[in-house]
Formats: sequence, C-alpha cells, structure tokens
Amino acid sequence: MTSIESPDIVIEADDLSKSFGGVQAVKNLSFKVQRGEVCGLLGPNGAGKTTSVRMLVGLIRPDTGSASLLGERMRPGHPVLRHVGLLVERPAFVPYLSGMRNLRLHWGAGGDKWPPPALDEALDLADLGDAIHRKVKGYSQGMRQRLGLAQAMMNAPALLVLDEPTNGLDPAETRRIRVAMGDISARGTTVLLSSHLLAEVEQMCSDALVIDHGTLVAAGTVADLVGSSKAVELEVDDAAKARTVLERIDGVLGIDAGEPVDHRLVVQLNGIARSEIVRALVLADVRVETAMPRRRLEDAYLSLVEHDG
Amino acid sequence: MIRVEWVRQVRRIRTWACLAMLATVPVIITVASYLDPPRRRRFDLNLFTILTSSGINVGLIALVVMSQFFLVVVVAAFAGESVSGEATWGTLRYLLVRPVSRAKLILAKLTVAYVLTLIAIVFIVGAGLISGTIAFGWHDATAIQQTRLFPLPVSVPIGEALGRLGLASAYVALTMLAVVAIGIFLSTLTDSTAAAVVSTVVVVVASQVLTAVPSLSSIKPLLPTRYWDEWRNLFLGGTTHDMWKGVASAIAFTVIFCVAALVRFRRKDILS
Repeated sequence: MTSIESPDIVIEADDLSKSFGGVQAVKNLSFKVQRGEVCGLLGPNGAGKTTSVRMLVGLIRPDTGSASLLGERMRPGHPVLRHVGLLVERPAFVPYLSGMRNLRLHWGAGGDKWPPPALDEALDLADLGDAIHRKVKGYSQGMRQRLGLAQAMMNAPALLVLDEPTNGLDPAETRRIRVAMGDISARGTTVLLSSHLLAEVEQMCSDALVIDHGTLVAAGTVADLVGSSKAVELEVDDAAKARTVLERIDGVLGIDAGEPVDHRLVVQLNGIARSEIVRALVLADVRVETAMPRRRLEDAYLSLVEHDG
Repeated sequence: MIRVEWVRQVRRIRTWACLAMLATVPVIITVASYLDPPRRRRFDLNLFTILTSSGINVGLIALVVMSQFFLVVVVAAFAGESVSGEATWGTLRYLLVRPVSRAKLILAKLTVAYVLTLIAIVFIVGAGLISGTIAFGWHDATAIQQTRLFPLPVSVPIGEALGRLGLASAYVALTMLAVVAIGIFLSTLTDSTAAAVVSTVVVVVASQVLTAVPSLSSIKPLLPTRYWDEWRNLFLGGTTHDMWKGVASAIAFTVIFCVAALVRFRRKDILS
C-alpha cells in the first residue's frame, strides 16, 4: 500500500441531502475539514450524524450533493478508502473467527498484502494480548471496541472517522484512546470524531460541527463555540428562591438546575454581568457562596440544539 | 475477495454441519435398505426397487432424494446468508469501506456459494456411492427400460453408469446455480438471514408445487423448477431431450437473478 499526500481539505461535504421514506435525515449539509484537524461531529440522537458519515464514505448514496475524501469525489468502493480508517456506530466482526483472523479478512477484502503498515501499533493500542487469537464471540464490549479501533488504525490512515470510539471502555482505556488520538493527530492524521460525550470532544477536538435535524447549525473551532456561550454556575443557600429572583432579570436567558438541585443553578446570561446577578441575589437575601463562569462545550451545544425543545 | 469469502465460509461450523447432514441421509437410506430391502415387483419397478443392485444405484437414489428439498435448503442457506448474514452481524459496512467494488463482492459471494453447492452434491453422491458399495457391492448398475407393456430392469456397465451419474450430478449442479442466484438476490433485499433463506426455499417450493398443477401447463416453462427432474430419464429410459431446455432454463434464471442482485446491491444504502 502506498502512502498518500493529504490535500489541504481532507473532507468536503457539498450540499448533501438524504431522505428515507419521506423523512429528511440530512438536508443541504456542507462543510469542510482541514488537514490535521481533529474535528468533532456533534448532534442529538437522530440529528443525521451517522447518515452524514455513511454518505461521506460511500455506504449511503446522497439524494443530492457530493462528498470528497482526501480530494477524491466519493463513490462506493473508491480506492481512496485504502487511506481511510473507519469505526461506524459499533465495531462488528465475524463472531466465530478470532480477532486476528477478522483483521486479516478485513485487510484482505481490499486486496492488500498482509500485514498492514501500522499493524503492530494498532495491536498495541488494542492491548488484547493473547485474546487476539481467541474467537470474537467471547470478547467483552470493551475488547470489541478496542479491536474495532485497531482495525480502523492498522492501515496508518490519512483520515480517521470514528463514531463513539470510547463507547464501552473503562476510564483507563478511554484515557489511553484519548492519548492515542492525540499522538495520531500530531502526526498529521485528520480525525472526524462523532460523539455524544461532549467532554470527550472538548478534550480531543480542535474543531467541531454541530448538526441538528439534518442541518449544520454551527461549525468552527471548539474555542469559538465555547466562547459563544456565556453561562454562570451559582452556588446558593436556596436555589428555589434564587430562581424566583433571577427569573425577573431581563438579561437572564435561561436557568437550569445544577447538582445538588437545592443549592446550584446554571444561568445563561445575555448582556448582563455576573456581578449584577450576584448583587440582585444578595439584595433579595439569597446567600451566594460561589459564582463561577461556566463556558463549556456542553452549554454551547445545548444552546444550539435546544432552541426548539 | 473470493479467498476472504471462502475463509469466512469454510471456518464456519454451520457449513460443515450442513454438508454432514447431506451425507448422512444417503447412509441412513443404505442402512435401512440393507436391513429391509425393497421388494422388486415387475409392475411396480422404479428407482427405489432397484436400489440394492449396486452401490452406484445408491448414489443415484441419494441424488434423487436429496435434490428435491434437502439440497435446496442447504443451497438456500449458503446463498441467502451471504449478504444478509454480513448485514446481520454489521460486518457489511466494514466490508464496503474497503476499496472493493460491490459487483466484485457479489460475484465473490456467488462463486463461493456455488463452490459449496458443488461440494454438497459431491458429498451426497459420494456418501451414496461409498455406503452403497459397502452394503451392496461394486457391480454393474441397474436402470429401467420402458417397454410397451411394462418397465424392465436392464444392466448398465459400471463405466457407463458412472458416466450417467456424473452427467446427472452436473445437471443437478446447474439447476442449483439458479437457486444460488435467487438466494443471492433475495439476500440483497433484506438484512435478515432467516428471511433470505426461508424466502429462497419458498420460491423453489412454490415453483415445484405450481409445476405439479396440470392446469398451469402453459406457464410451466416459465418456472425455474419445470425441468429439474428431466435427468432421471438417464436411468428411466425416457427421452432426455428436455434436459437441454433445463440447461437453458437454469442459465436464463441464473443470469436474470444475478443481474437483479448486482443492480439491487449497487444501489443499496447500507444501513445495517
């Protein structure tokens, strides 16, 4: 297998649309992912993330528009897939074959000579030990997930597309995968990471795309997306009383319960300073222990996708 | 791609269990016939009543018995599972993100399913020949000759009998090629292995039932199983002319369903 020189634009979706039986899954979706980016793909369940990923790699034919990977316009079975690593939804293997035999069959299906260029590195990451030679039907979910990651990475891909890569992994395994993602991206591999774990995206991704109802609602660097959210987390002695006070203030967009419910609130602000709401609470005889700015991807994400409940 | 599909199939216990089942039935028939031989009566002469005359006749009976249903079920399992099985396990999406064309994938699956079908036929006839020879010896075979009054048993030299049995096996293998094509096509329509296998069997059985209905004689040539039994005339003394129609019919159905499978699979959205 020959290596490939990645173009500046590694993923390009151009006006992709797809409907299933009258239900519009993706509508006029356009975006670009630059070389070397670790780009998060965010959206609620049913937002169209998986359909978008499948259109990108040629598993689903778009009704309109086109997708390009590594500068090549995609069609099913395109040779450029040789340079793409993929983990879609959940890893899947032939259950009665060993992990290693599954890897060999996956590799052999593309007509490439065994072994793949990054096999050792991928097996190290999977950390399955002798279990790699056991039948997959005896694997735990975490072991399957790690084998799926090894399968996606063994071809030393120029583009890695991962859907929920840490699903089923314990915290130590998750951390290991996160570190590996960092190493891979540092070597210039572009990563598209679809995940429901917003903290994971925040830690691993440089950029993010937010999809809702099949359309792109936000795109940019994670720092930009987080910056657009202005929230403050309050620790008070009486959350119910504080909520009553805050609801009367014009610059307060929304109030969510924190944890514990009786003492914490998360308040979305618009054009009002943190000190102003603290002052209002104190004047209303509510004790404020802390008032910390909360600018997390979760807040930005929720403000983007919860507009219609 | 063919090698990948071959490894996937031959390392599966189900494949060998199916083949073992096919080989077991002729052995059971042999044992039963050895313990309680069928009585040969002049006016009730058929392939079963001459079963004990030679091991070659047992090979023949094995093909008669198994090709009607058991072989169809196993072939349906090989072909019907090929695409839908991958969809059921979720491996289809990973197979299709390798740089391989969908047409190549379908043709690889069809090839392997058909090679397994050929092996199944060898197992059936081989099990019949071996068990029959052990039980009844390796003699000239017996065939049936039709006369104006009643059928007569006639001796067929070993070489000629084996030639006829080989031709009969090749004919059955060709008819099964159409079943493989139908199974592969139905396998592209569903993500359920059971649905693909069962619907393949249903198509064949429905065709066999309709073939047996006298009032449907005008549409019988359009049914895939219409000429399936013509090979028996190699041993029954009837005309074998319609075997050519059977060859043409099997090829036509194979081409039609292969093209349908290719068109369907190329357009299929992989949602499994």
